[in-house]
Amino acid sequence: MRTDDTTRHDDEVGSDLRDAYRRIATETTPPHLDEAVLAAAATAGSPAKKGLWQWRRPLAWATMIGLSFAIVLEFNQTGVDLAPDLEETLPQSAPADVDDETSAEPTGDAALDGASGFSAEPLRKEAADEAARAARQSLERTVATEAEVEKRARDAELETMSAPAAAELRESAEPSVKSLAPATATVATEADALGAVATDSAERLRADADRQANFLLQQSASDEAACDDMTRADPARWRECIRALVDTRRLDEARLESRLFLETFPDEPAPVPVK
Amino acid sequence: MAVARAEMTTTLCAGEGLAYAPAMERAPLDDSALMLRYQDGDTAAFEELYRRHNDALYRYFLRLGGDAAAAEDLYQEAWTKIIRARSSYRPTAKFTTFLYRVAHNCFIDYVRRNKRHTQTAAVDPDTQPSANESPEMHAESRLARERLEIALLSLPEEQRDVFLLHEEAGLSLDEIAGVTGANREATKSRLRYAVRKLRAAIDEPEVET
Repeated sequence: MRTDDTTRHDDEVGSDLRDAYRRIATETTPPHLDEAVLAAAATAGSPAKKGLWQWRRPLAWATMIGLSFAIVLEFNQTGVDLAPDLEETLPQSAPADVDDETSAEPTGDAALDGASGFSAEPLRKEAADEAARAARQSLERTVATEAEVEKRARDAELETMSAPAAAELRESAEPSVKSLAPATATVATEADALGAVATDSAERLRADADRQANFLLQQSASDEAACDDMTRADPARWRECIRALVDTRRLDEARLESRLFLETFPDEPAPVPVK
Repeated sequence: MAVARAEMTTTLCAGEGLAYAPAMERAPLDDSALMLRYQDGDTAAFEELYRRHNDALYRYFLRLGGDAAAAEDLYQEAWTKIIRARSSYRPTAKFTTFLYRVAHNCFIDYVRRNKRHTQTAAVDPDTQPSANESPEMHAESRLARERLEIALLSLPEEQRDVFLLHEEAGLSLDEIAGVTGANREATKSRLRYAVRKLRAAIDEPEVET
């Protein structure tokens, strides 16, 4: 295998060592390896396979393009709308008064919508809808009950021709009013309870939304302020960064960085423990 | 030697009735030309190319890793890569350089996969005395071979690699530097250290036990 060029260029080895090496380097390739390699070469380099591949690839492309056209044409002919109106899929908006009330509260949604893609708007609208519905129902019940009582009393007064008759009628209406009073009170209590439940539910949903919003805000803030990639490349600097996080009481971030540090550099001394 | 082989092949091919004469043409093709022929689907060209390099490449892996099983795996892996790379092969350098660069990279990957690979002396020196050797001479010769084997296996991996690329692949220092990614001076220095240690091993006086 040696050529004149190599022997002339760098005959560092010398004939004695070369001869000695040649005496021990007499191994030849095992026949099964020869067979395996030559078989692989024959399989890979056979013209038949190459030709097969050459016509298979364009055929695959043609098939794919044809199928795509067929699908699009089919949709066009059957009138399937591939992009339905988005307005139909959006939830209906809440009443204006409730919406105004809830939108006035600071939740940090706008910042989150831009920063992380999370939106608390659907949750808030749902809560507002529920509260408004419950309040409206309780109000309607109360108003209806009171209106009925007043109407009876008025009717009685107007229809009386004389005071005794009126008094008689009033007396006759009195039990009705008295009997309706507990019902009115019950309805009012029920309405109050429903209103309270609706308010609780709305507040709970709003609190959940705010909590998620705050968490995401904190997370995005910590992403910006925690140890950067340059710091993480050096174990000592990374440890210093974790210590700084602990010192500034950013314990969650310090805990996260410590865990990442131990995963990345298992053999390095552990950073300062985070309580 | 290459010239002699070329002359012999030309003479053989010029003879009458040789079935392989059209394939071999007038002069033996060099490695790159054979690889390009294989690129066009000529598997006979690959076989010719393979026969030129198979034993040297096998010994390279055998002595570099010191493990026969690993050598077989690496040998197959290297040739498989050569076969797969046939379509992208461009004869910008000697085929031998290309082949041993692939082989070297296969070995580096193997070492990374098996960081604690052991160097076992799997190569078994010939134990049969030749006809003109006395038993004493045979024993001495066997000891010298064993010392060389051991010295070769105890070389640092870089020095052993350079020595084997020089002796088995027949690469020059520049070509070895290209294969290993080291510069020429480092390569030369590694080869010099390797030769010094191996020579010390074969010149070592036999210790009486």
